[in-house]
Amino acid sequence: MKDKKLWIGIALSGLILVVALAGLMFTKPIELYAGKRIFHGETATYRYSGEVLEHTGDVLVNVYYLRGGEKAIQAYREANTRRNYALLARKEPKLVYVQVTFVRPIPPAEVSALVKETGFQVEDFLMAGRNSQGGKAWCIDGTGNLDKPFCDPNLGVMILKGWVETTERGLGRWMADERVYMIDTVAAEIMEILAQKHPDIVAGRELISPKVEEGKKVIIIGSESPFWALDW
Amino acid sequence: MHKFKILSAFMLLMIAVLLIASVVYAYAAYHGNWAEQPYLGNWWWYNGTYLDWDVDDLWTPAGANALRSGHNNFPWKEYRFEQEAYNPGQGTSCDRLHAIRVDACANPPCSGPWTLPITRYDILNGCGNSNVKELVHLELNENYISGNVWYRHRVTYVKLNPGSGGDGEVNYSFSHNWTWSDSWLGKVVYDQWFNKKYSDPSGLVN
Repeated sequence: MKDKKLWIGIALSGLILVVALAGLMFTKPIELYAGKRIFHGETATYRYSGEVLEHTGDVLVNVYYLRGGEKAIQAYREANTRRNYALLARKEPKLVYVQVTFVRPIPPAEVSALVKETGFQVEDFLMAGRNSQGGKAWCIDGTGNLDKPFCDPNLGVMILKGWVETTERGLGRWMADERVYMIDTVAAEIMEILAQKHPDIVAGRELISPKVEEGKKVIIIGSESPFWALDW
Repeated sequence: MHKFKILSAFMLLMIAVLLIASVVYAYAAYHGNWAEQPYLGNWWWYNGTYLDWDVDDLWTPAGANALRSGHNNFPWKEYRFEQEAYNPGQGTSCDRLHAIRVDACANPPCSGPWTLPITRYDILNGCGNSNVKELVHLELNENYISGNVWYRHRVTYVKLNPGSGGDGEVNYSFSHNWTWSDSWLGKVVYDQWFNKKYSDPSGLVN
């Protein structure tokens, strides 16, 4: 009889331990998953996955086209166009994070003029073109200074990252520009997805903005650009 | 006369050796054992007004095939380089180097190596102060990468607080979006004035 009680006690203790450990696993802060993929999903035109950056606690969301080559890129581009019209139709203007891909390398002075005209706030940009030996070349300018690029100014701007308001003067002007191949506003949609499906990730973090307070954790959203296959 | 001939021949030989030595550069097999990663690395370290870290990568034909296969088949991996100007394991050597430019064959132009094909980039805070961007991610355009070809890019950093902080390090890793880990390829350790001290694997940096 004593033995039976002992075994039942051991079994119950084990069960409690397993439940406690499982509880700990599922409730531990996401920082403990640093460097690991913590969520992923797929929409009609792209796949996304999120990871916590080790040492900062920032969350990086990676966005990729679906499989299907040129058709998939075209579908992604069209989805962006539809989203941009929807953003523009909103009553309250909002600052959105965008990645602009141009149809070909555009002189930095031209892009600078458009930036000033539309109140675009530049994060950084990628320039592309042919170097003095005729080869393909690209250069990412982290200074964000279009008037005095740190990259070779003979190249043209191919990708521009930053923030613009969802107004006719802002996003609307970029949408109407023929030099623009795609205005990627997937960040706005990703933030909505995160708010719905992963509120624990959004809590205490904000989408990266032009002015981030020191020590504030951010969500960074990066998407692919088809610039390599365009005309340059 | 005979002595002069021998001396002249010796001098010519010396010049030839020096010329050959000037064009032969160091390179080394990377650490890590992923089939899809580049096999050889060939780095340069230029400590001037800014710090330039040049990276050449070479895949073997089998490695390039594995890279494309991994990308074009389920689960369709997206490969990237992670260039960390800090110690990623311990989160030290922070706020020493701030990345402001990544240049692939624009200036200086490449004569021989090819431009690294990418689809995306991120310049991020790796650790420490959020305004200092130590971390560069480069997402590869896998279908444009071939075997037995050197691919080049250069990262330029602003040097912060030279003369303080002791030794620091920069690290280079290869990863993809379906893994909980990465393949560490190598690193350079530099002194408080940003002069290179050594590389791991040895012989990687010129």
